[in-house]
Amino acid sequence: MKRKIALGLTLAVLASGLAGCGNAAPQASGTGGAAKSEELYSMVVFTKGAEYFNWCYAGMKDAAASIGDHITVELQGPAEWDASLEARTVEQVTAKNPTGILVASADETTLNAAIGKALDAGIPVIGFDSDAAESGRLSYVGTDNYDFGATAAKSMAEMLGGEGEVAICMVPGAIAQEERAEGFKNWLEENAPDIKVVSELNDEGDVAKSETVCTALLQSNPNIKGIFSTHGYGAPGAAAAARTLNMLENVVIIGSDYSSAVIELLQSGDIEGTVVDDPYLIGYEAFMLAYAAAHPTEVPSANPPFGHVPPVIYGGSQLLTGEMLEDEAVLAKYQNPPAVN
Amino acid sequence: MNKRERIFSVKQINFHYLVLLLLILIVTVVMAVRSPYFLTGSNLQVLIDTFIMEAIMALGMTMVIISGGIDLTIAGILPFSSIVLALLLMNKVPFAAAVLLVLLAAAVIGTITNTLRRSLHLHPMVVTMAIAAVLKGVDLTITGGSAISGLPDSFVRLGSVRILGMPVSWIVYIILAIIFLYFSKNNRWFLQVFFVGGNEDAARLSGIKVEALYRNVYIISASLAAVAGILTAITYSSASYSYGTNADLRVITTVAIGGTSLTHGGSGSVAGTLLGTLFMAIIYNAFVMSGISTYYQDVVTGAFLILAVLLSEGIKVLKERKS
Repeated sequence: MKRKIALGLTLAVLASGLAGCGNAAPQASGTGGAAKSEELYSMVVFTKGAEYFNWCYAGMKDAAASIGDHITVELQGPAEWDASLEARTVEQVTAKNPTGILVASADETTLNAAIGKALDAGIPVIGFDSDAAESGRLSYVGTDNYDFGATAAKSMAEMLGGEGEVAICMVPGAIAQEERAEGFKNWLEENAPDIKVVSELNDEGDVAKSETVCTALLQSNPNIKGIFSTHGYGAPGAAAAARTLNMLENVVIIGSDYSSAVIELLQSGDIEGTVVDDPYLIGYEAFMLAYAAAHPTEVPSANPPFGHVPPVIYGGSQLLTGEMLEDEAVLAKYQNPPAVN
Repeated sequence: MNKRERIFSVKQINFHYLVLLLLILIVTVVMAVRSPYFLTGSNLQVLIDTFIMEAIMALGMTMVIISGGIDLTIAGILPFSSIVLALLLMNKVPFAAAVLLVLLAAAVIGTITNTLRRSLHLHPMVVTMAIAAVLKGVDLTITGGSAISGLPDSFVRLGSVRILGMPVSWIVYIILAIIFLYFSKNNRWFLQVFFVGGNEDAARLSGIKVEALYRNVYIISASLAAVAGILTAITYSSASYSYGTNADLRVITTVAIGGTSLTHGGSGSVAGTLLGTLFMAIIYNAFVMSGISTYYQDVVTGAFLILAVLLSEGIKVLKERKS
């Protein structure tokens, strides 16, 4: 008897669960234009839930809405940073035959086979943010990290009045960061030769380590007038070091990317600026390229049978300052990132 | 295990199987109705591919949990094995020798796990979590955070080898599953694992070499994680520290949903784990297929885990009360 009750209960729980699933269906694609057939585009990311990718997805959603309501979009991918899990997600997404796939790859090689399978199945794949260059993806939309570093250098030169000794806080070996540092140094060499990069510090991408190495730097060389960090944790660490040594007034700190900690330090003026790229635009462009690739025109394509798309598009980067955050609309954008269900 | 208990545990497991089968059936029917792609050949293939590494590791984890332990090292051993294999191959070590060396390394890790557990009198959760963390750190140090690629062509080709239409990973799993299924019913050593997990003192008194048994259980689990690491490297022609993140949790959930008790050793079954594996694979696939946010996936797996525990524990309590 009890067993029957248990079984009944189980089934009841299940039935209600499944009913719930029914309600939680993805944004239903509308009836749309009479002749337009339904299209599904999947964005696959690693670390799903990361604010950066939510911005990308927000851009993708808006781009899709601008085409029409026969387009459905979805965000897929593991919450963990696991390239093999992400590759499996790409394979699963491929099995439901979407019109296009947008992929930010967890590393440069693991997703190659999965992306290849999607292309073989006739599904256009566009890379964004993190590229798998050898996967055969039709196009890549991302940030030009060299230009990113140059943006930081230009701002640094303006703030220092064109002269002084500066340092870079970075994780050597990380490709994106190496490119940012390279762009920073080269711009200064060409445009502000009186600013010398005297030190390149390894802070291991960690805020506490960054504070330690910056403290040592500022103590050993009080002539340092500026610090550029190629990642998001360097600037808060450098600011903590300068604060402890009472040197905040003497040192211009420019960081990379943003977080709530960075936003607060920009508002307080402890950090002079941070270079940000534009994940919203990256998601928007990546969707547009996927759409273009899925709808070939008469223009000859480099990747037939897919439509013509450029091999690469770089979104720009710009300096975000405390002054800019005084505009409430700008502040709201950074304080209220888009939520994704 | 006296006669009455044995009968009860058999009944309990059968009821558990029944519920799991029903759940699998219901999810399958719902998905088949919702998505025209769910029952296609290519999706069923992907469905299996998606969970094959967890499936392999779940076999070893079942034995560990039945013995009364837990093994979180697998999340560290999987990427570690893929990386070591890749480095050996790139240094011209023959494939067979490289595989043997990786398995040997895993066996050493399993032995260390058990030695630490025993000599420090620590809960296996603590020891295995620490070892997993150390391995992850080693992985990150060796690779500097980027994936290893550019493996020898002969190895890369293994990824597309099909035997009877199946990839290497399926063949390995089928062989392992048959061995585990058969031996868990007929092999004396496997039956001793149940006995030790149920009552260690009694097992010791009856002359079972308990420590050797524990050691072997952890060696088996570690070796299967290494097998999963090797197969992951074969499947993706790469190796990375990122592989296997949180695989330990997925594997333990699979085993628990299959009816193996996390709260007390000595109860569970390989057959239940096979069903749990099928269930998890279908759930993971169903979420991607239906486009329902994967955020709900953890909620649903969590809910089913609670349901599974309630089923196995609840029935046990009912039985005990009755007797």
